[in-house]
Parts: sequence; C-alpha cells; structure tokens
Amino acid sequence: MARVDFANPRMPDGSQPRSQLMTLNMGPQHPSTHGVLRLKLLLDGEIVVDVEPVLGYLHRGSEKIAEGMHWIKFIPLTDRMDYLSAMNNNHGYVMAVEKLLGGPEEQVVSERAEHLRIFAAELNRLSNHLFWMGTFMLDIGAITPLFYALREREEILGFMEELCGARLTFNYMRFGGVKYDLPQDPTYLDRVQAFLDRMPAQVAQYQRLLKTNDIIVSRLVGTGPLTREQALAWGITGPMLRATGVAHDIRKAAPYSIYKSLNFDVPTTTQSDCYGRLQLRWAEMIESVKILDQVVDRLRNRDLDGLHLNPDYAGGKILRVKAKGEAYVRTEHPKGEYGVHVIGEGKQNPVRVHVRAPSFANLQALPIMARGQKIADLIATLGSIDIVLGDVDR
Amino acid sequence: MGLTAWTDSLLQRAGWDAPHWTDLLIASLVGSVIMFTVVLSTGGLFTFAFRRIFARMGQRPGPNRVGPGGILQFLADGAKLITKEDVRPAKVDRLAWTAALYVAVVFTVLAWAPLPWGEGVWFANVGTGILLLLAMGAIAPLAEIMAGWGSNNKYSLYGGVRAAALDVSYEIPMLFAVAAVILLVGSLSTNDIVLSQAGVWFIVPQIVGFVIFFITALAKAGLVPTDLAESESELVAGYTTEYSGMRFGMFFVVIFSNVFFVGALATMLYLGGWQAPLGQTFPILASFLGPATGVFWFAVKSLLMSFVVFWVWSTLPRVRVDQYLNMAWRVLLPISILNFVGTAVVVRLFQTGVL
Repeated sequence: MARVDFANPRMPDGSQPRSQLMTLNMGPQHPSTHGVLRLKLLLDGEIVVDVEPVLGYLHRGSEKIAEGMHWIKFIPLTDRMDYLSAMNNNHGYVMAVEKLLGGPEEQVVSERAEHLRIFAAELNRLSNHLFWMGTFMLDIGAITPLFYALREREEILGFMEELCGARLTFNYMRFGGVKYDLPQDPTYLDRVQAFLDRMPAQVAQYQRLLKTNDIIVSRLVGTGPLTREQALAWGITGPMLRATGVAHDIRKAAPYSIYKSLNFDVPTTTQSDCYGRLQLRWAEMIESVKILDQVVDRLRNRDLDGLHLNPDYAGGKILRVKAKGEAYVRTEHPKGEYGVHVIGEGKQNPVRVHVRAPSFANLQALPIMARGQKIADLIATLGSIDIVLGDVDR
Repeated sequence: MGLTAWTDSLLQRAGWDAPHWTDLLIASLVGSVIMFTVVLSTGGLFTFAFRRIFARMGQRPGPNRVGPGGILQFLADGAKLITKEDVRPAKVDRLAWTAALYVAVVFTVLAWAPLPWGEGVWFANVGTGILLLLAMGAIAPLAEIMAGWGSNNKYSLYGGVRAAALDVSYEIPMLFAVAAVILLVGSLSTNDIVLSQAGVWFIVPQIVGFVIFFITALAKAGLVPTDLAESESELVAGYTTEYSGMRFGMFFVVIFSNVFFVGALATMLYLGGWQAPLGQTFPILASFLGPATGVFWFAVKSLLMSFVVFWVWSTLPRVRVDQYLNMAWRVLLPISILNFVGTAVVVRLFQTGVL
C-alpha cells in the first residue's frame, strides 16, 4: 500500500495542489470505519485527494497465540477473526489441519460431516451478506434497511444456536468433522427449509426497496470504481473481484468439500462500483439459498454415510503423531479468498499458522478506489469492500 | 391575541395596578417562559415520538418502559444528559463555541412566535409574521456555522462549512416558494395566510411550491435526507461533535423541535392552517373543543406532517452534499422562480379581471 506523502502532497493527477490541503485522521474512533480502522485522509474541501489506511488497532496477535496453544484450541480463535462469518473461518482452519494430517486419498471427513459443514458455512455466508447490506446502507445514511436485514439474520442465528449453541462465535467445526450432529428436534430441517423458501422473496423485497431508490442510485452508481486489471493486480478476491467481471470463486475454481457435487452459479457483473457490488451480493445470497436447498434436501432424504465426527481425529493423539509438515488451504469466504497456512512439527502446538485474510487484502484497494471522490463516497466505498477489522488485523 | 397581550390583560384583570412598563415586562417574561417550555418540550417529546416511529418502521418496539408507553423516556434521557459532565475542550473558540448553542435555541424558539395555532391564538401577533418567521429561521443555521468553526475540530468544521453551503442554496428556492404564497394572499400576516385558505388550501394551486418548500425545509431543519451538517456516518456528529451532556442535548432538542416546526409551517402555508378540512365546520367536534377547535386542527395537521418528516427520515439515505447543491441550484431554484413568476402573472390577471 503506497504511503501518502503528507508533507509534499500531490493531487490525484500528479499536479501541484492549488490550495492548502487538509489532513484528517478518520478513525480509529469513527462510526463508519467498521471498527477501529484509521484512515489518514488528504482532503481538498470535500474531495479526497489521497487515503492511507492505518491498521493494527485491533491486532490481537492471533497467529502468534496459535503457536503457544494446542491445535484444537485455536479453532475458537478463528471465530474471532472475522466474527461475522465464524463458520467460514472454522472451515478454512480445520481443512488446513486435516490436509496436514491425512493424505489426499484418506477419507478424513465423512460425507455427512461435509454436508453439515457446507450447511453451516453457507448459512453463515447468507448472514454475512445480510449484515453487510444493513451496515452498507447505514454508511450511506439509511438506517432502517439494517433492521430488515437483521430480521433474517436473527433467524439464521437462531438456526446456528440450535446447531451449535452459539450465535456469533460458533466454534462448530473440528478436525475430522463437526462438533454436533443436527439438532434432535425433528422439525429443524423443515424450519430451515421454510426459511430458505422465503428467502428469495425477502431478497426481492430488499431489491424492491433499495434498487431503484433515486438517492441510492445517485449515491452508489459510479462510486468506488475498480477495473479488472487493478483488482487482479492488487489481489482482490471475493465479491469485489467478481464485480469486475472475473468469475473467480474457489468453490468453482478449486472445488473443496462437496461443492463439486452441488449445482450453483458464480454471479458476476461488470458494473464495478458500489451499486454493482450491492447487486452482486444479492445474487450471491440467492446462490447460497440454492446451495442450501440442495444440502438440506440431501440431509433430509439421503442416508449420508458416516458419523458427524471422525473419532480417529477427535482426540489429540493423532495431532502429536501426524501433524508434520506444511499445508495451505484456500476457501471461498463470504468476503473473498480465505487461505490458511499451517506448519507443524508433530507436536501438539502448531509451529506457525498464517491466515490470508480477505478483508486485509481487499482493503488495499481502498486508496485507488477512493482517490478523487467525495468524503461521502469514500465512506460508501469503504462499506462496499465488506471489511471486518478483526479479520484485517487478526 | 398574542401571548404577551394575553398575560398583560390577565394581570390587569387581577387588579394589578403597576405602571405599564412593569406590566409589560412581567407579561413578556411569563410569555417567554411559556414559549420556551412549549418549544423545548415539543422537541423533547418528539425525540420520544421519533424513536417510537423509527422503531416501528424497523420492526422494533422502541422505548416503551419509562412511563405509560414509554412516553417519559425523554425526561429520563434529559436527566441523564443534565447529570453528565459538561466538557469544554481546551482549545475551542470559547465565545463562538458557547454562543452557538444559545443562538440555536433562541432563534429556533423565536421563529415559533408568529405561528397561528388557532383563530387569534399565537405567541406574538406580528403584522409581518411570515417575514419574522423566515428571518428567525434563517439565523438558526448561523449556530451550526459558529459551532462548526468554534469547536476547533475538523469534523465540526466540515459540518459548519456544509451548513453554510447548504444555507445559501436552500434559502433562495424556499423564499421563492413562500413568496408565491404571499402573492396569493397579498399579506405578510400569518393569520391572513390561513384565512385566505378558507376555500381552497394552497397545496392545490401551489403544489409545485409545496414540494419545493418541503424539500428545502428539510434541509433547513437539518433533517434526513439532507442532514449533511451532522451526517453521522461521515462526520461523526458534524458540528455537534465537541458538545457533550446537556449542550449536545439542546442541539438535539432543537433539531427535533424543528421537525414540528417544518410540519407547522407546511400546515400554515399550504394545508389551511387551523381551519378544518374542505371548509367543513364539524359542529360536534366544535361543541366538544369550543375555542380550541382551531388549535386541534392545527396540531393534527402539523403532527401528520411531522410524521411524514419522520417517515422520510427512516426511509431515505443521505444525499451527497454536491448532489444536493446541484439539485438546489439547477433544479429547485429555476422551478421555484418559474412558479413564482407564474403565480404573479395569474394573480395579476385575476386582479385586472382578465381571468
């Protein structure tokens, strides 16, 4: 990320500024920086000349902490990285450790457990996108959409609570499976299915309310543009990349878990601005519902093999014996590509855990998107990236 | 009868045998106290109303614990704000920072003076009432500029500068819209404006003016979608950033009393003021309410308009400042001038008997 030369400022086109520019430190205490992000702004009136994101205010050293604790004890800490999509964090980490433990031909995770994982992960993707939509609307000044989004998210959290007992930091996945099988309640999947049946209509409601609103259109269209080349050069992933027209989704590009057997599309758009990203995430919600429909159908009607947790991997012994070498796994997180790199030496602690956080990588694009725009656009652009500071700083 | 004249006559009736100036002084004091109480408690109650309406729009219950239906919530909030520490940041421009609050409160309250609440019910009977009202309203944004400059905070400064930019852009279309109404009435007295709507409310001939007035009045009062001076998602709290405790509370109350003020102004100018709809008299209602019938209708219409303001507030996102300025100068201003000229021509044609 290029540093901004505050002592000798230049306009976005490289020319000398005509008037004295103002430096403004937006954050770390600011209502719209989604946590404790600090933006050093160089402003010419309302126009953002340059931005420099300053990170680290929520740095908890998670990756270092991992080195001092048992492999399995790090799972709850992954919950706390991107706390809005904890299931997806869990999934990436346990997959990385499983790759370390077992060879590719070895059946570590049963089919049933894989379905439970995707069930949880896709529900979480839905809830992440819902919350993103609400907070994004908050950023451009509309408060009520948040509550419409939270209405559906609450239901999802209710399902999650029944599944694993927690509503935010789930700590659900384990090496070799998941912690709990489906709830005892026989109506559970029926209720989930009823919710899924309703969800497309709810998305249609958001679209009806937000898509053609004049103020929303004038605020979002053309705001925070990002070209395909820029996105690829900066390593942008997830909805931000797909909004530039690149149909890159790890679930399709390098299918993991059971995604190969599921039927879904990767929505893309070429309208790479805040408006396009909003549309794209709506389309992704619909796709998640499609995936969930299939997974729920299989969980109900098919006799899926295996236990929800492979007992061979549940204990700590196998980790001490087999957790040797390196493994890198990438998964499609709601915010982008989520990579986990683990190194073990056959002890009960990892030697190194590194997380490639999508929020962190995507945040890099903020300066190139926001330069030359208005302050209000900067806020909208930042919102459209979908960052969680827990994920940026870790 | 104005408030001062009324208290004056009460004192005389009670046998108060003082010289006229003491009489007037006491009457003015009592009048001001009543006026401040009405305006500020309206603002306070509206914070509660807002939170309830806002909550219902977002499918939540809203504050419903303090008092019946939660209606005393605003007192609890006020008590909290009053007991908070009054922080004055070390490097503020002391005069501007302190005075901003008083300017905001005093001129907001003064603008209410010529509002006709009923037939002959107002705080002050002023012949040029609408002018006074608009003039007082025009001073109020000065407080935002003072607070913005005096706070020695960049967010506040941005808020203040935005307030200034907004002020010059909405004021002109608004005045043209109101001037068209004045042309129709032929008088500057607020009472005459209401009386001349006995047949048809001005919203019918002045629908364009009404829309312009409503848009600009929202900006004037600093309300969503044009709360650009405060815009909390961009400027933290805009010009109120450096105020805490009851100082912040007073700015808050001023904003919410402005909601009612916008509603009341729209009622007075376009919706027939204190007159019953469609020229009806509703004798049963009148027999219940007696002389308060006018106040009843005025309050009902103003509250309905205030509800519309809250509705807009909870529905719309915020416009961008340059987009609003563009709209004000390139759309609202030409339309409001056309509306004004058109009204003038039509009125003139009526006067000369052509129509």
